[in-house]
Amino acid sequence: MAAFGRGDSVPSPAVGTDLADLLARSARGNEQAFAALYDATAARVHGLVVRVVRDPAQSEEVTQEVFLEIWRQCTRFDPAKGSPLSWMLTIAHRRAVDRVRSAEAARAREITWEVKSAERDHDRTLEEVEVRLDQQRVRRALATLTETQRGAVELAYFGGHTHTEVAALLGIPLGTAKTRIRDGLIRLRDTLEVTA
Amino acid sequence: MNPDTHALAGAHAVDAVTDEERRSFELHLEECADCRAEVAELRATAAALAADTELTPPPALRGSVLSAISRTRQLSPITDGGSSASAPTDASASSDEQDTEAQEADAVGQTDELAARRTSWRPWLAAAVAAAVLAFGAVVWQPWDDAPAQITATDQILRAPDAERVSLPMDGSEITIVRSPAKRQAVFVADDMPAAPAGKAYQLWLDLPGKGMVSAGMIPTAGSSVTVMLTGDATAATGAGITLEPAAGSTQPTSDPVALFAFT
Repeated sequence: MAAFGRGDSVPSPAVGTDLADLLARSARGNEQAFAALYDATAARVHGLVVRVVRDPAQSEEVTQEVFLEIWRQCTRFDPAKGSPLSWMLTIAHRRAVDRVRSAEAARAREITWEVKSAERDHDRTLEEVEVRLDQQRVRRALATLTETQRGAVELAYFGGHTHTEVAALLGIPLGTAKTRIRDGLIRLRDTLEVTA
Repeated sequence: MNPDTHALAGAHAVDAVTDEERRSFELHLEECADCRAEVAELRATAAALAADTELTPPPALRGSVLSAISRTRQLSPITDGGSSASAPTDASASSDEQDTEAQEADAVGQTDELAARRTSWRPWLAAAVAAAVLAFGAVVWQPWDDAPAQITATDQILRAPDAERVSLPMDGSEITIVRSPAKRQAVFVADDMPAAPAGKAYQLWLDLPGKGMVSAGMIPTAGSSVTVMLTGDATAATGAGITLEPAAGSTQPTSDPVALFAFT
């Protein structure tokens, strides 16, 4: 979240700093810090995993794998290469994509299109309000893309498809999809003022 | 630089590449600082898209994750000194593995009194079940793709697809038995096992239909974190128990159980 600024304000120090601190302490084997890291990020991680994997039971397995991998690898997290949340979501996305692709390779995918939305916490925090602001910014940014760019980005990122598959799905020439994915992401990056 | 290669940065950032494409692009990344920076930025951008997709996982997942990390070794950091130790190996607390082979119970000489004690466990077991012992459903473990060769015998049980976990509180900590019917074995795991009184030791038992409690080995006292394979075939067991016994172990339980696990 703190990876990109909110409007013209300074990125929220609370979330980003806390995550970096929790990750650093987790890397020294502090399980309490990791529990706090889990609490702060589980909804983001699981939300992304469910969006890609769809099946609730499989998503839970993947989310568990993701946090185990974060635990194992946080000793190697390099703040110079990106924010903690970006790093964690990169791991989550890769695991989710691996799961849907291996599932596809093994057998026909059982898709549960209706994902039961877990009860959401009712005591929404300030952080939650900030998240909603982020959501609005993301939606506005997505609206600036061309239809093909937006379709390519969403099919790749949330659909877990390769760029070749994206080309087939969108009916665009092979090789064009990767360009659209990149163009779309670059435009989003500039609109959202994302820094790595 | 090959512009066609560079064009893959976006697809790579969102994992929209085949394994082969990923490998070849990662070779390119080692030499191309521009692409490295772009991939990092586009990954952060993609992560921002996920702000729209929050979903709180089921509460039980938290316990599973925290229980799993306490058994999982963290990778060594990559240092600049060039002393990069050999690639990290395993995901799990391999050093804790103990094979207690010498503890097979010898059933010879069992007395009626002991037989009576065995049967007296039944109400305990029923009570444990009635008290809604925390019996987690099957937790499926996926082996990590980067460490297939270094799996210990206990890890194989802990990660078996059919692994069934039963956890109980003990002195403010948690003790767990993980059983894999397919692998016919069970593993006892404790993060903070209390020390046994002097001259005593904790002994594991499997509750086998028609045989009652059969010794499954001793719990090693060294260290507070314990991972130990139960001896004997756990396939048919309906439960497991722990008693305090003389340090050398007993062939039958001689005291009331300090913990009873009910398998589903």
